[in-house]
Amino acid sequence: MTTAIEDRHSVALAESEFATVADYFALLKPRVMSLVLFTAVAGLVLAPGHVPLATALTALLCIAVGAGASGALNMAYDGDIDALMSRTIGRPVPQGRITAGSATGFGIVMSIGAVTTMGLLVNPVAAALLAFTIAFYVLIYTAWLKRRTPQNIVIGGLAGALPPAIGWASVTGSLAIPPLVLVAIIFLWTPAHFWALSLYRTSDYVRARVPMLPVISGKRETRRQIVLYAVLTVIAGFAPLALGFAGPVFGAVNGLLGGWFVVQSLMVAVERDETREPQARRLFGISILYLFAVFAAVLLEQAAGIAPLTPLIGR
Amino acid sequence: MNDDGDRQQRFERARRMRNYAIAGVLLFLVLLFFFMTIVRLGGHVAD
Repeated sequence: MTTAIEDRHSVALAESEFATVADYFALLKPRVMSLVLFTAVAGLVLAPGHVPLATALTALLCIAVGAGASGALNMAYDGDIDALMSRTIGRPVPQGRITAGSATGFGIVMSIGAVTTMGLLVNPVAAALLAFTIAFYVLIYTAWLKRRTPQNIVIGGLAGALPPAIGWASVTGSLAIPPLVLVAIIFLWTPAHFWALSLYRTSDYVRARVPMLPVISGKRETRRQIVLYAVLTVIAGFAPLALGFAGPVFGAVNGLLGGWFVVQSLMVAVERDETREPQARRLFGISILYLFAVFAAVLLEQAAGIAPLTPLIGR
Repeated sequence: MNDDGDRQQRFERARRMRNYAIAGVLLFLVLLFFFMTIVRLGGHVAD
């Protein structure tokens, strides 16, 4: 008798045994890459000064390739645990279509290519930040924290939060408070987002022995922490207004969608269906919508020339 | 025998597609570096 996971494994193996271009594309985690790119664009357009369009596009390409390289190296390292989780069993490494060695080589070549290109064609500060982000995600999060502590995604979330800073540095060649505030918003958003996922995928993490918060501290504590981080995220979301680099559209989006995000997190806190976790599934989607909308508001205000509100701090 | 032939064909097709993809990426990078050099040189391109 085989488990559902083993069945899916053998079916997928029968469908294809050789790596295709699509398999290598899947190694790049394209959905993660799209959110990374979107937040990087926000940092890039918010930055003062001007760079040629070709430089801006090159910077975004390097950020996208760097994010993809991180994904490939993560999948290479995590092939063993990906094979134990229903969400990740279909990836090319656990399916045996790409070896961990090939995925590692692919990831390293792309990392070096993205950082070198960024350094040569954009600027060395942006290249250094990109290299730090890739190294942090692969070495600190994937290889060190992920299998050791329930704070894995809290600390590791820094890697996913940095793209707005890289976007800003691509234009200015330096860092400043505004991109770091955007980084803080994503950093505080990450735990509520991933712990919502881990609530309805707890059995996956138990099977793979990944010490996510519900596995180690239980679902009740996880729900409490989700509310805490959702509230902190929305509070941080008001910082751009207080510091005077965001306008009324951003404020309205953060207030309305942030309020919804917090209310939904409170509903996760009182969820009774611990088998299906419908509210956690909803919160996972809403968290993506919130982040997308907040960064879309940054882009919209810049594109439409909407002036920021008068800062409350640092006048 | 037929299975082996099929398998070989699928392998060669997958390898060919990967080679095209790598060639495409390399060509793109060559063009990118060329155009970025032109952009960076700006008005001094003919100097």
